[in-house]
Amino acid sequence: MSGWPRSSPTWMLAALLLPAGQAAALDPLSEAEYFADQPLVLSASRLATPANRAPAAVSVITREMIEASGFRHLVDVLRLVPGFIVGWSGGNTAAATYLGLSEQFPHRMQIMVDGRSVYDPSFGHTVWRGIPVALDEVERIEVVRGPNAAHDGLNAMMGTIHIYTRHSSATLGGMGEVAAGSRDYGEVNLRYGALTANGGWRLGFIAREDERHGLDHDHARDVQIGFRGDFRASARDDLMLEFGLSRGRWQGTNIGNLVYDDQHAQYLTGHVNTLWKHVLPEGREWLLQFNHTFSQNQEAIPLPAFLDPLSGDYRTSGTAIELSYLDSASATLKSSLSGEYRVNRARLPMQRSNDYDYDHILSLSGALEWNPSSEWVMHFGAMLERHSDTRVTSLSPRVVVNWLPSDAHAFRMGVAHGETATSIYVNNIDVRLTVGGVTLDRIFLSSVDLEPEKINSVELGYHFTQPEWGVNLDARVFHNHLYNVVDVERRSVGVDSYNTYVNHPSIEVWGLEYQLKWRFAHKGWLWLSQSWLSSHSSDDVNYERSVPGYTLSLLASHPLGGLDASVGYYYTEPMRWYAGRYDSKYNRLDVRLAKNWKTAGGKWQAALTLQSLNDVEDESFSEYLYKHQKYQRRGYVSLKYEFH
Amino acid sequence: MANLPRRSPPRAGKFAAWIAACLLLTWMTGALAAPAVTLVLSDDAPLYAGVVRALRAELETDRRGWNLRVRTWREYQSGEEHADLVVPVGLRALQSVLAERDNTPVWALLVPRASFEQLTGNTSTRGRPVSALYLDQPLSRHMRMLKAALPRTRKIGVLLGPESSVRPEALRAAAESAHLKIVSARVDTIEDLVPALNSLRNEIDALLLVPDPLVVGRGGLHALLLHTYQLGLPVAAYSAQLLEAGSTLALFATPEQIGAEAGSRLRQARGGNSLVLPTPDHSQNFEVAVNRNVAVSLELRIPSGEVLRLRMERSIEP
Repeated sequence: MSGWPRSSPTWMLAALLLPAGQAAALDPLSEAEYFADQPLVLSASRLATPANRAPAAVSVITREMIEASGFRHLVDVLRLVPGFIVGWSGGNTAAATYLGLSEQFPHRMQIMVDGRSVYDPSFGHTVWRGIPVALDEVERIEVVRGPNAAHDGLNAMMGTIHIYTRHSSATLGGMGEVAAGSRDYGEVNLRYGALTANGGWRLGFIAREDERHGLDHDHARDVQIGFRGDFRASARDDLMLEFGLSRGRWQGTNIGNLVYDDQHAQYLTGHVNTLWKHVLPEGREWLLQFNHTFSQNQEAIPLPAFLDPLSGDYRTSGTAIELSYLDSASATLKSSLSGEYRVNRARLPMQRSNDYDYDHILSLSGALEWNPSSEWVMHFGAMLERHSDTRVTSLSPRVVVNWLPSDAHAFRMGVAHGETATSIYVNNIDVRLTVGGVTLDRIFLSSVDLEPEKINSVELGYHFTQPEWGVNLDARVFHNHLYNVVDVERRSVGVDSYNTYVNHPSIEVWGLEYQLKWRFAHKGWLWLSQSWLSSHSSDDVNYERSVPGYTLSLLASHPLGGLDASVGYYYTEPMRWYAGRYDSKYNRLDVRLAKNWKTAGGKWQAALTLQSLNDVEDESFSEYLYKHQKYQRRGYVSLKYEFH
Repeated sequence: MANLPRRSPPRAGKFAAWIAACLLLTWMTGALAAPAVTLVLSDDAPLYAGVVRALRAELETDRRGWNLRVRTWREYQSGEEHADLVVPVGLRALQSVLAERDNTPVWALLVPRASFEQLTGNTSTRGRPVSALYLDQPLSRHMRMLKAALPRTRKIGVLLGPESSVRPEALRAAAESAHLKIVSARVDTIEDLVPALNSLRNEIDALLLVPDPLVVGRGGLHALLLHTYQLGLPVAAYSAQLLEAGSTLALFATPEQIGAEAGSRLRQARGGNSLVLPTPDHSQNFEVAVNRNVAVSLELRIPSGEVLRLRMERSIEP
């Protein structure tokens, strides 16, 4: 229906003359309030598929959970997700893996911030510390557990982590926070957001310093800045614009090879991300996303004087443009189609040539959700992806059926196939020790005929929800068969011997995992997740050891005499990071107490967080100098002030 | 030889002419006696045309005939036509009609109740009879809709800005009639919206939107719908546009429904060639609609709008 003429001169004049934030007050109220065209806020792309109808198990980490956890690093929040392991090496390099297969450069999950991949294609991992997003800016984190390549592409072999930042309209006004604590921890977090005539924006700044393990080689300092703007070009057109910069100086290494104590890395990354949404009537929508990310690492690897210098410097960038069409007009059939062109480029240390290596990626994905009746949902999805670097074309399909016999119960059965691209590093590496240009020793040489890693997965899921009890349970049993897994092999050619990458082991992982959210009493809630895993590899015992047999996360929050009190407990059975020499485990108890109060000028929060109270977390990567890293008992205090 | 047509006798021709003249006179006097109703439009936008079209269609089914004129508020101000009833459509039209020194009865359409009461209370109507078929739906009906759609709902949240059109006492009374409780929060600026929703999040089962230039105005609606969705709160709205924007369900009357009901009430108000001014009332024709995509995403199984309306009319508990 054509409605009130928003574009009438009177309305436009009023809109221009009135300051932002003071809505065009019509006194008395006119019919315009009832018939004016409104922006389509909750369009199809903003609506999440409910857990009982979703094609995969999804863990949603909300703002209240992030705040209650007391974690101060983005990656640590993933400890709440069943089956996740988070490890830190040298105090600055974090790794998060799902269902084991834990290694220093985990490459089997796709990680996206507001739809922008933060997966580093050069080494095939994510530099968590370099993501310029403050925890305060995160709206929620959705973790798709299980192969999701059909939706998010090759790197989503084991799942996807979607990090969504808060809409700029939710962070209006100013915020300042200071935090200080053990191990020289210090953080200043500033944010300011405001409305404009047709949207809003936010600018954030973080300066942070810490020594995670209190060792000599893990001091890290970060400075980050991030911007997000949300603008409305019309009632049907939205534009999101983000940019960010992050600069870190980290003792230790960012390339995985720590040679001596005083080694350090300077890391710089920046990005631009734009998303344009055009909403059509009846649940149809176009999305056009463009983003560019660059990173550079400066890292000297000092060697004995007689050897030629070896550089740990690298530069990498990724540019992507994606066009998607969503159609949810029909109650029985929903569909989406998406095409993306991406170019990754990298100049790596110790690669075969000094030029940039390029990987041009073309992908096409589609998904259908068919609801033949209120009790049944069927999902069909597939992604076709072509990489120029490896000249491999991969198809990742997924078929899932949901059965909802009642409001409370839902069952899910699905099969999926996924593949993961090998990193530019793995495809192009040639590490040598040389003297005067003459090879003394060849350390690593890439293989030219590597196949993508592949996974076949079968799962059976169960979802239970009972709003009156405040209970929401999601459980699944699954079997993953990974093959063509890329492994390191020592190869000898004559007198020359070196490490190279081969498609070697085959690994099977069986598991049962669940997550439970229970809202009890008035403002109390509890999150509990557990996983039991079993693995078998015919070829490589290292992969078996990298799968923890059991993980548990518990986070509970409840008011306590005017304070917000929360307790977190995180446990894993001993596991060994791939190629490590020592076992790692968590058994960690955290407590947080926060006091909120208001003054005439704004809102205050003072918080005390005590971590690893039982002082037994061992988060060692067990390599080189990283062995026996203890995350010892520590505490932080923080003071936050928000004003309008 | 073909038969020639028979000539009509002269007497029969005179009789026919006399009958035709009588009929013409009867039609003319009837037309002149038909109540003159002047519709005064706030604008020439399709919104107002929809009301006029539906109203005219309803009156055209009345064999007694109506003398219906349509004017914009500017034309109305510059002309001096006689009318038995002036029907301003929209607030601007009502304001211009009330500004005229005239005693013709006024029956307003497409004007919210609060605005009508504000205008007729503040403006000296100089004894002029005024009434309205309100644009908005009564609060008690909104409460019944919430009860029909979300039977487990006990507490309804409402955000009230400094210029909200709804009084908290009226909200509470309407809620109590449906065995619900209102929890309201005051917002003075758009920056207050998200903190206010956060403060209500554990207190309420659903949020009811009421017309408010701050809460549902420029900038505010975006934050409000995004944040309520993230909190998993269903939102009940008062217009089709707000439903499409992302509310979970809505109760409203369309311009066509208001026009048709206005025509029907005019017919009932006519006694012979005179008109009795209808009493102020809310439209009995209304829509209950559900945003299916939002409801499913919130894991809410809400019946269709038709089923909800039946539940409301029959006042049956699901």
